[in-house]
Amino acid sequence: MSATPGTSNFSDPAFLLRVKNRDEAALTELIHAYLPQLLRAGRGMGFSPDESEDLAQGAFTALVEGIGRFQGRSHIRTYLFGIFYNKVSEYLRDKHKVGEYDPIDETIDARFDDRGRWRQPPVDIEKQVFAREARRIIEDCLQRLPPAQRVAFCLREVEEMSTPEICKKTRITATNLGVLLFRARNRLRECVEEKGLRSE
Amino acid sequence: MYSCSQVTRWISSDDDQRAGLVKRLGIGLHLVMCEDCSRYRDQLKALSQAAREAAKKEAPASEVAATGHRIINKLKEKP
Repeated sequence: MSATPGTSNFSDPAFLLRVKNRDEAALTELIHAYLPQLLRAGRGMGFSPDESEDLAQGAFTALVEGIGRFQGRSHIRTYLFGIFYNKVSEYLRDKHKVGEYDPIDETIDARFDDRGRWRQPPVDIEKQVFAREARRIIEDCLQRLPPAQRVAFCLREVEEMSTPEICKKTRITATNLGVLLFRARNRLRECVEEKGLRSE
Repeated sequence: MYSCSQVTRWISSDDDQRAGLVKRLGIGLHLVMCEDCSRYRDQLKALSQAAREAAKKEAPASEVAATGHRIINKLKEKP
């Protein structure tokens, strides 16, 4: 057993026992090692600081409670992040089911005529102007997205994960991911166009 | 060949990335010829860029530390 704080071997059964017993020093080492990464992952998925903290709390709690089942074969980091993504999936399943009606579907529909041509095309403004407005209000617009759409969009665009990776991590189908991205991107674009360009 | 509503739906749902060559060429051709859809596509790119930049802002160390304390306290609460 290590006498120096911060240098424990996380695979050492003695360390795992300390975690199981909720030894504060052992817990502190785990938090110190992995909390920043978890919070960053949460942020990268579009979660607010509070939501990210809740998810991290859930992951650490599940780790501590399940430490008896932890085989030590995979690194604790892999195990912890596995729990984290499971929690994200649970969160997505609870908060939003794909397939339910979303008002953005109607909004988009109304922009096209019967033949699929633009009836109300995107506002004609310079690229730089739109880009500047997007940067200014993107966080506000992101927070307005339903959670599942926000996570899908951020995993794709911020974390730059591929479709198979996202589907594997969040356990949704590629088709459902497509619907979430369609809704997220259109909501965001409408949000920037509406709030950004038309306001002072 | 393809309508604007089809093309915008496909590019916003990433359907174009899973599509075969013919469909992708058709989408590409439409985007070259249609100023409105091309603008739509550029705006989606700007959104993605903006989101990446926003996510780079990290929480200050003091906040992370405070979060850590709260988490540890809760972990210690359980029987």
